Amino acid sequence: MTDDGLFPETIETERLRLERLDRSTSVLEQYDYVNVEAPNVDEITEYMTWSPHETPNETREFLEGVTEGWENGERAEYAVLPREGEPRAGEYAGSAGIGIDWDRRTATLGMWLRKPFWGRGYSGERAAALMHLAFDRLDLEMVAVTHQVGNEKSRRAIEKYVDRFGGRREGRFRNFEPHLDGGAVDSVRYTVSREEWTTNRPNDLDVVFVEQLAEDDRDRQSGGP
Amino acid sequence: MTDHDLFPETIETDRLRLRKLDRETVDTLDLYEITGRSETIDEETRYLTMEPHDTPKDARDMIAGAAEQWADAESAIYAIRAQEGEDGAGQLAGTTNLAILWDRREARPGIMLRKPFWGRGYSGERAMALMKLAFDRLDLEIFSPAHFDGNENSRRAIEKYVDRVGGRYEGVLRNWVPDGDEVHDLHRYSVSQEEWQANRPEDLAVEFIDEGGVGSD
Repeated sequence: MTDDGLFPETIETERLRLERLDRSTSVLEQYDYVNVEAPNVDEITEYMTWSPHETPNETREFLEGVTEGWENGERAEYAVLPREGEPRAGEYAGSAGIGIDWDRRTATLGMWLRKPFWGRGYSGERAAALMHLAFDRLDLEMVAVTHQVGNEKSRRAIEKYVDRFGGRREGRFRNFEPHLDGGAVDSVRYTVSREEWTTNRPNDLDVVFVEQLAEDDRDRQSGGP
Repeated sequence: MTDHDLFPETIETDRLRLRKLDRETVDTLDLYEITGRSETIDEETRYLTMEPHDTPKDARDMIAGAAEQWADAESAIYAIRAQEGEDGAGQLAGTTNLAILWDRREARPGIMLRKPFWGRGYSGERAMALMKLAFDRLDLEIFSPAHFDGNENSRRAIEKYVDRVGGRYEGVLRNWVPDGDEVHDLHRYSVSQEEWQANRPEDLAVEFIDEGGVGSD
């Protein structure tokens, strides 16, 4: 396992703990949440560019891809876990990713949540944390996010935080994203620039980046969530 | 070498002749005259990702790259010449390409036109031909022209032909095109297969000429 210091292993916000997903993550446990029979999985993936996994090997390949992306400094993917005090604290709520296009100085965010965790504002909380990562740590110029046309829940969540950070809706782009099963979907894309972030970032932003544990960081680990 | 037959070697419109850009059809030094030595090249490429060529080697590399992209069916690149009867007929007027993103079922056109040929509506005439190629021959779903911020000439040309075939302006993609130390914003438009079929000009004069076909040299 490598740690080149670009992405934090763990990110803590007020109500969430984001923990790095990689090949050391249990494939079978992950498969429980994304297989074709997982609760509400069709509803969850209706507007995603992936489909429920038919075999655990798809899950293994996903985790391999995520690990490679991390090692190349191009992608970080985190498990989303509600912290102590939240309903279903410590349960796997979904995953949140950030993909970096260094040539474009742009980070693109992505997320999905299991249904019991919808409607709690987790998406916005996670977005603020990953924008902090993109702008203040990775020195990028732009953070982008897209949702598929018709995905009203994501639209509402995204509009809310993009608006809060002074970003904008760019437009609706046709055949913008290839679907893993073939074909391409129409997307609405939003961006927040570094200037917009700097002007509008919350003063009370509660985000902690926790690095990979070194010997003298033990006490931090026991501090836990 | 036998190529695939996805892209026609030659496309003829009312006033233009597009010919596959390769070593047989375009002399490297002739290309360099317009992409490197020309006094207007800075102005012509100001809003393009294409850089003016510093040496004839750059022109040679462009032709070699075009052959590779053609063979891989990633992009069809053509030399543009005006037909008989037009001012500057037969001269190299510029280059145009149609990049194919197969996984998105999408075709992205590009053009570099020399200044003496500006303002004649050549861009739109060529766009109609490339749409016919993208939709009728390659069975793609989307044709998506784009231009940088500030490129008013391209904006007007694109708006005109996109509007004519029922397409639309989609929006501006911020930080979309890396170019040296900068990343440009890109204004994107699209025309769908359905829009093309519903609005394509009835009198569209576009002929695809494949190698060995009737019109071959």
